[in-house]
Amino acid sequence: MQAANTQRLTPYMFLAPAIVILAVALMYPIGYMVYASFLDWNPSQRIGEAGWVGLRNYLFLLNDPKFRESFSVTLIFAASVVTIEMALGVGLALLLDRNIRGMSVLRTLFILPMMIAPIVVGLMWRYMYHPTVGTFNRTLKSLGLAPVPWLSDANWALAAVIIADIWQWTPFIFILALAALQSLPRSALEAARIDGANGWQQVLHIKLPLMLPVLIITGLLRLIDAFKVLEVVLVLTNGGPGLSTEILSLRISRTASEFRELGVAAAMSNILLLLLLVLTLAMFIFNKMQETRQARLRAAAEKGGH
Amino acid sequence: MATAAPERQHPGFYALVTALVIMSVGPIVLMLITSLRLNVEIMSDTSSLLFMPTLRNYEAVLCDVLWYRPKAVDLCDPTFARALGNSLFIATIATILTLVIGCMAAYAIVRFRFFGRDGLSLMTLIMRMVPPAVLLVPVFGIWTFQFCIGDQCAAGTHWGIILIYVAMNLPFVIWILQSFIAT
Repeated sequence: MQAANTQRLTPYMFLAPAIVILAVALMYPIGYMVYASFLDWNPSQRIGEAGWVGLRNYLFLLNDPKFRESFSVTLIFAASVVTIEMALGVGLALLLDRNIRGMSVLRTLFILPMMIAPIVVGLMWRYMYHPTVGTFNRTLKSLGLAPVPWLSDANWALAAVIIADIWQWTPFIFILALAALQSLPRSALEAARIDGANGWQQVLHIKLPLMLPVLIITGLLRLIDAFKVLEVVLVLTNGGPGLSTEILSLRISRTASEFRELGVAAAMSNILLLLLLVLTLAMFIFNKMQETRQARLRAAAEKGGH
Repeated sequence: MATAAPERQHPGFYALVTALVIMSVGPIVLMLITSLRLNVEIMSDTSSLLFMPTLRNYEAVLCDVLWYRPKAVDLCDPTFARALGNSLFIATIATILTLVIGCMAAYAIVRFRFFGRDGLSLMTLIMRMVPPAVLLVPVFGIWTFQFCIGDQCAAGTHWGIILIYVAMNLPFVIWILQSFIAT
């Protein structure tokens, strides 16, 4: 009896430290934030002294043109970043899926940008975007072209931030797509080749459909991470000029620290969190569907084999 | 397939690979090169690839921990050396804690069947998506006012940062280690 009990408790003992830390430092703060989003709370007050205002923070946000602008900037940023990175990353994986020497060295070189701290990435790009001594404008000047106001023009600033993110995260998609490509069943590709499919037909009808599950998960992961970006934008533009690059994360941090409206910042965090929750659930459901489908296929194959 | 001899490729292919390597490593190399130049050179209008590399910038930021007194640095600012020490301390402790705790949790999720296992792996996935900015308000409130031992609150201490780092990275570590242990 005693032994059976300890046996049953073993997994919980292994999990206990993780659960305690996550509960204390992640779940509790999130619950706290949901509660705080209904308060009119100022950083100098304790939370108990803050007044209950019900849904006022949310109503305020709905009618706040600045919040709506920053929301749409976030959506534009995430959508363009993920689309371009997926296209580039998958395209490069298809191109570089060759048997060449030194592929592992190349892969390491491509992963380097992901390893760098976001703040440093921001600083590096800010130097390269510098209006007079930055790399880009210097190159443009030596080519005899007009300099580009990278970070001081509203449209260019958003493009500049997007380019920096693409530089950092395309390798992520490239590496995952390449791994998926190299684990494709060789038999399907050979069959297609024997049937006389040319390169494009192989890519369109064999490779891409077979890679699709991995690609969808990768894209969703990237989308979730695109909503989490903060430091690079903070260092590059700090949201400006105007509100042109003020993504939601940045607006939350500014609302909390500059405008000292913790309740409004909490309400904003809540909206962002809900958005990400929907995306994550979509990813989870897709994953589960894929697993059951594969299990069914495997079962069917086994039945056919007997 | 993997052991087959490398095929000869089109020269355009090598050009593409070279361009990609330059694009991904270029900014990093540029940063390293810039760190070896003097401010005057960086800001000067004429850019040249030929310059005298100097370690003066490194002397300036590390002046506090160097065994000699760098000549070129007039005013020694100890902030960077201290920040570097803080980073090393926090990163080391947080990494060790995250790995140990994450390993235990991932092992339990993979190797045991128990009540709440599916829900748990969904929870780790959900917690992975929490943006750092979302935690700003609650962590500020809780760390300054609630997580206190006597007079000392978690805000402004190393352990306060370590706690939130471990919590934020645990879901990711559990998620990665899960597939690693399963194979």
